Amino acid sequence: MNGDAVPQAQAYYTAGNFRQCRQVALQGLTERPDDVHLLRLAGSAALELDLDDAVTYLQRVADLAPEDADAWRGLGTALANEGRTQDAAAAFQRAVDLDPDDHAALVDLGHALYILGQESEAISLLVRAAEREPGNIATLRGLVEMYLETDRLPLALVTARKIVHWQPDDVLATVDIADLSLTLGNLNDAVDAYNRLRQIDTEPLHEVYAYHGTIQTEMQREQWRRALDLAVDATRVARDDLTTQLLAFIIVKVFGSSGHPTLTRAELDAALIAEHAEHRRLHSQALVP
Amino acid sequence: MQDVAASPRVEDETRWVKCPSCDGFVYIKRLQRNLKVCPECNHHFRVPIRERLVQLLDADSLVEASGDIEAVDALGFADTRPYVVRLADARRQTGDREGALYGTATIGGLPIVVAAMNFGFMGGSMGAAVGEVVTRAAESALSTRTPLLLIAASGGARMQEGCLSLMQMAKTSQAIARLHEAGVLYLCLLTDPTYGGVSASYATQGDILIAEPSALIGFAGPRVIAQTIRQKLPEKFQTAEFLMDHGMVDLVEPRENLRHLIRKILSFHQEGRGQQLPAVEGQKAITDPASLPECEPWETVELARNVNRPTVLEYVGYIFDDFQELRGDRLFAEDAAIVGGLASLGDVTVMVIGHHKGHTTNEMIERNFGMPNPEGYRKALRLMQYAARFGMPIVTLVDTPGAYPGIGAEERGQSLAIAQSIMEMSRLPVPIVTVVTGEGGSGGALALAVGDRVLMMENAYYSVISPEGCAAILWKNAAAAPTAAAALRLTAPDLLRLGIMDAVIPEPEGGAHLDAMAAAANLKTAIVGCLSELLGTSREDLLDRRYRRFRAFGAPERQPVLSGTRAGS
Repeated sequence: MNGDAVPQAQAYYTAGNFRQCRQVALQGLTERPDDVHLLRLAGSAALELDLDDAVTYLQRVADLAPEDADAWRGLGTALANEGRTQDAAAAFQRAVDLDPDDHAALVDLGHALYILGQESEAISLLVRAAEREPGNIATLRGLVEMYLETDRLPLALVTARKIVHWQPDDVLATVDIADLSLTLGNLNDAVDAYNRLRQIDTEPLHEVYAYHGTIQTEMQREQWRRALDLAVDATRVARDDLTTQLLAFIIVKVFGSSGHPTLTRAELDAALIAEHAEHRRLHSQALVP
Repeated sequence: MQDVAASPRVEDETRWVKCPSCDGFVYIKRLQRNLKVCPECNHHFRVPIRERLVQLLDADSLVEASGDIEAVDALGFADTRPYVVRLADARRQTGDREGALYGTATIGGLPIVVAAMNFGFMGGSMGAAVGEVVTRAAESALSTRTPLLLIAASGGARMQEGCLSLMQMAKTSQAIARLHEAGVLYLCLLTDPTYGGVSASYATQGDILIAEPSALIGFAGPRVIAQTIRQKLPEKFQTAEFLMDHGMVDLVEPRENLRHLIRKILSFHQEGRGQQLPAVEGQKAITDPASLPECEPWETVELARNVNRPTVLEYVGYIFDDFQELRGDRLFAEDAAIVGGLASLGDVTVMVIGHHKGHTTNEMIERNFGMPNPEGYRKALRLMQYAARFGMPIVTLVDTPGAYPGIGAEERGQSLAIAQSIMEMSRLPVPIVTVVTGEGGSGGALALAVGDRVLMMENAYYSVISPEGCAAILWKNAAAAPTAAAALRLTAPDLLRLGIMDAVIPEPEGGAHLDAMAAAANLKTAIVGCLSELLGTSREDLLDRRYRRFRAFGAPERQPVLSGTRAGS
């Protein structure tokens, strides 16, 4: 039986039958307690089954095979699962030291360091990871979030564009491109991205977000007639107060008065910023697996 | 080298998620392990329907019954895209046929019918198919008399189905009404978000409404409201906590507790629960006034007001098992001056309701010194009606200086709330045992005291007005309160002689506050004694005797008259 334990446990693991995998691995370990393969399978299965002893087995693997990058990354994963971020970062660091091209270890170490407040190191690790797997959307998304959080908006924009390069219909990345282009003054790009959003963001009631973004862009350009046309058009999809306020404000700019009490430009901008954030949050939340 | 698991299987998946509340990154497996609650800030992420069912139900217990239900494009609707295309997209993205499913299952071994909404499917919007799922679930629950659990998550009615969607509010509501009439338990779990036609129909019609922390629940969306009224909305507007403060939900419970909580509530409602009352060891209640010591009335008033006297929740802890507090009047606010909830007394599920004062200054302020507002009485009445619907006896514990005299209380109908409670209590077809445990302050006390058996603790008092109030009005001097107390005949021996009380519960030497456990044992003995007499009494006899009990007060030749005079000069 023992001679077959590793392939048998591995087969169960590959099939997603973690309970059986663990059982076979633990049986095997009674006779070969230092078998790295069995320890690794027992630990990995424990992690999938959400059992508390995953760290114990994976730590043992790392102790027995200290030159094995996978062993350290597995341990880091188990530690991260327990919220032991500092320890996880140390394990991920060992994995990266042993295999500097390990994309997953780079990403995990980057996130762990970010949580620990080492933002610049975290970002450079994710950049390295993205260089190794340019089409890995999860990595790029992590990078966008870190750039946004650390106020590196041009870099966030560039990274969001990379996501769209790989996934042209990615709504969240297009939202980022639109809003960041507007913020950074790339107004033509902003208009293009908002127009694109109107095609790909098919969520009910979301069309108004793209309208408001486009109107805001025209206001920034001081193209009041075009802003007026868009605001009138926007009332077709949304008769909410913000659309009305935008319309009233633009009417004053075009005709001198609106007959409607208007918000100041600062108040309008604040409302629009809040709306952009809300729109982004909705799409970001929808991506949580 | 053999082929081994190189590393955990999350390799190519999203492994780190940004929490929208604290903006921190969370390792995805840690988040999943924590039931999709951020371990750093406790933010409750939205949970897909299948994952939710796995969290709540016994493993492999769900037998789905909604397989054939799916939306029909009855209007031939198209906005920027045809409805049928949107439906096809939603089906492809979620792998589900519709925005809701139902079936039978168990939670902790107890059977339920469950209907769950799928926010991932077109925002959980309610069209005809979702309405059909909920209606069939209710009908199934009714036909088998099995509790129904609804898990709500919806942006509201599905516009693409026009008025057919609107009609689902009526269709589902009438099915739920039948459950109410038949006394079949209906629990609603409100998750983020629950809005519009769903929150304005079956999602808030439950006997008990449970919400997840910070879940957004409302009729109109906050953005629409803010832009309509042009005011900054209050902090936490429309969150579950906001709703609980405003009396709209019973409980806001963290995700990790939900399964246990629902199991507990189901157990209170288990069909065939016995009528076995527990064994008791306390002193028996006294029915002969001559056996009671005669104390100075004012001393009794002071004892009744002693801040260390056991509170309702303390008595509940000593006497009952598995108390589950329920909150809110479903109209305006939660009033902490009255507490109520389900509890076990032996095998019997009872509804316990009482005034709550507290001991410390902060607690007393929080509880408004045990002086309820109208919403307190409306909550109490709601809970009493709940008990009546499920045939549960009611125990009320009275300890209040009186109903709160305030502007808001009057604006919201203090008199009406008390009046309604007194009238409704007189007709509730379940046994009611009332005990005045401390202060029995006038109408504010009576609103919880129209019982089949009315008792009081030895050092409690019960009065039409506070001695101070009486002294100020009739003696023109509040300092004459002790004299007024004597004149009002508000102590246990006199009230027993007058027939207001059926019995008096002895207290430990020096008062209940000196030995709360002994006082509670005596109280428990009295309650069990009363219920053992009342359980099994027919509804007609119960109501008839209760009517005659209160009909006799002050009736010529039937009202006992006290001898002597207790008033001072």
